[in-house]
Amino acid sequence: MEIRKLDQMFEVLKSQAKKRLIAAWAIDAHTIMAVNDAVEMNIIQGILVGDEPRIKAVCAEHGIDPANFSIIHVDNDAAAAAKAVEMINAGEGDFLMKGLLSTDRYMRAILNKEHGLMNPGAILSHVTVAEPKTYHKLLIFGDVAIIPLPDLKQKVAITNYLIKVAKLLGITTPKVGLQAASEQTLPKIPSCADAAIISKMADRGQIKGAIIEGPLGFDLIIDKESAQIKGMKSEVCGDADCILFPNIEAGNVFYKTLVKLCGSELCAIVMGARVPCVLTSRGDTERSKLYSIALAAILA
Amino acid sequence: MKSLNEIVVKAKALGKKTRVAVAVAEDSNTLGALARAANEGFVYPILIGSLQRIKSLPEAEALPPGAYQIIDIPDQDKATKEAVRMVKSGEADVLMKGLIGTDKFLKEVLNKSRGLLPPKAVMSYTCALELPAYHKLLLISDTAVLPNPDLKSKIAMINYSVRMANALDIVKPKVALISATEKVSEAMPNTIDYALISKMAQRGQIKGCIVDGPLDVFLACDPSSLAVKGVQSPIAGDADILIFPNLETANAFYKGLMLFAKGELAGLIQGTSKPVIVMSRSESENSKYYCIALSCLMKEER
Repeated sequence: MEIRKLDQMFEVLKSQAKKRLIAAWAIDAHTIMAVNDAVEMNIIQGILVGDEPRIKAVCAEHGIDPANFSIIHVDNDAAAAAKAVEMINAGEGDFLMKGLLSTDRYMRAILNKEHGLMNPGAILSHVTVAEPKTYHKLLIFGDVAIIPLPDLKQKVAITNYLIKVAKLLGITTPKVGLQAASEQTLPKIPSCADAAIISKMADRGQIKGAIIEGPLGFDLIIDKESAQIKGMKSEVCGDADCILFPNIEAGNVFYKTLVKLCGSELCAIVMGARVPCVLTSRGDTERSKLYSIALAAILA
Repeated sequence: MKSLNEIVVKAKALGKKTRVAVAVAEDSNTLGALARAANEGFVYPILIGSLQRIKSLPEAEALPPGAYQIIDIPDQDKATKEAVRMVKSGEADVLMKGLIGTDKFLKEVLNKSRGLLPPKAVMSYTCALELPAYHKLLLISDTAVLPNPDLKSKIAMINYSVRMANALDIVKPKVALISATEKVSEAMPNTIDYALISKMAQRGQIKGCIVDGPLDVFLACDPSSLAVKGVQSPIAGDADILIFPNLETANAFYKGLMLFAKGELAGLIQGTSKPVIVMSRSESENSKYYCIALSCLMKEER
């Protein structure tokens, strides 16, 4: 089934065996409530790694039944992150979530060469799935948070992550637009040049399973009429499932514009580790956190 | 076109004599080729060099009386300067190298004030090959001038070759960008250039042709290879033009075909304001004759 609304992720998950979420340093109300929502919705199993008395106090304060979770007691944030990662590597959980610890500490535990979650040579990147109100389907894009200025190899990796997420959301042959300053191939503008190269790699079957077109201006990616005016004949134009942004600024501004000016719902995931990792920020809405957990569960 | 002889037929059909100024016209092959073209009525040779040395060659006897001119300048450098000057001033239509070193000859062609290369133009080389094993003429570049063309030069090579194809009545030539593989890889920087160029062509930034690359020679010229490898290409194994990544590759390709596959060729310097024929002394009279015919068509193309 192709998922065209974020809510549809819940239906898919309800019909599957429950994936096990491990939340690292899950001692704050934001994290515990998000995990609790997902557990009560019956879409995951929750394992909270953190200071047990504090977890129970938060549960009591918010009327949450601590029996909804397994609680693994660890008394500081760095140790909790290490323990959570260790449990994933031991097969005791299916995906990871960040609690109250800093993003820096969380990422360090994932990236740790000996005990972390990375395979050699793997590229860690961030994928967002948004439900823009004025678009006819979900939009999957990256990287808005981890790789500031991806090189060609990293862009290819990100493109493959976008395709993987799209396929797991039920899109058989995702359409990928490579966003650039112009649809012209301007060799001196890196966004245009890399997009042209990636698009040719896709022609040659070096990136599989998707229809890829670029360079394209943002308007041509999401609006068929703009593409027609410019004489661009690509089935990606106006019907893209995925967008590769050339750098973090472009992606990040788009992400925040969707949230703050368009009131769009979205969720996100960190890809490239052995399991999907949820990386929500305290600024995210409850709904968005729930969607991110659901997305990770679908990918796990 | 299938054969170089069709170039000659078309040159004759122009119905006028192209004036070819030859710098140091003192070698047999050059004179022989010119005599043939002059006798067939499509060329008016202007032979610049030592009158005595020119007249001493047996091929000079074959020149049609009254249908050519000799300008007696025994000094090689001065003869070359005069030949370039005549072409630049419009007193001749085509420049041809005779018995003088290519370096000396091109130095004069490239001279900023006296030469034939417009400012900022890229000088390159395209030749047309007739191959018994291919179903039509195959144009290739650059076999002679640019050792390691960069992106801009590669695009210039395409544009020059397309213009030559047009002169040979190939309307929308198929241009294959040749590499060792059809895959795009940073380990082979030319494949990156090719990906950019083929996307530029797709976006209409290179006009009048269909461009695809990277492709290897099999995929460019043999439809069955495409099918076997499952590669999609708008060229469909039917290339009119092959653009090579560097001079060594292009040079080895054409020389191999001359030697082992009974190829025949006609080539011209590209980028100059008028056609320039530079053939090595070891090339046959026949090749020089075809070059002369080709220069007559390219003069019309400008």
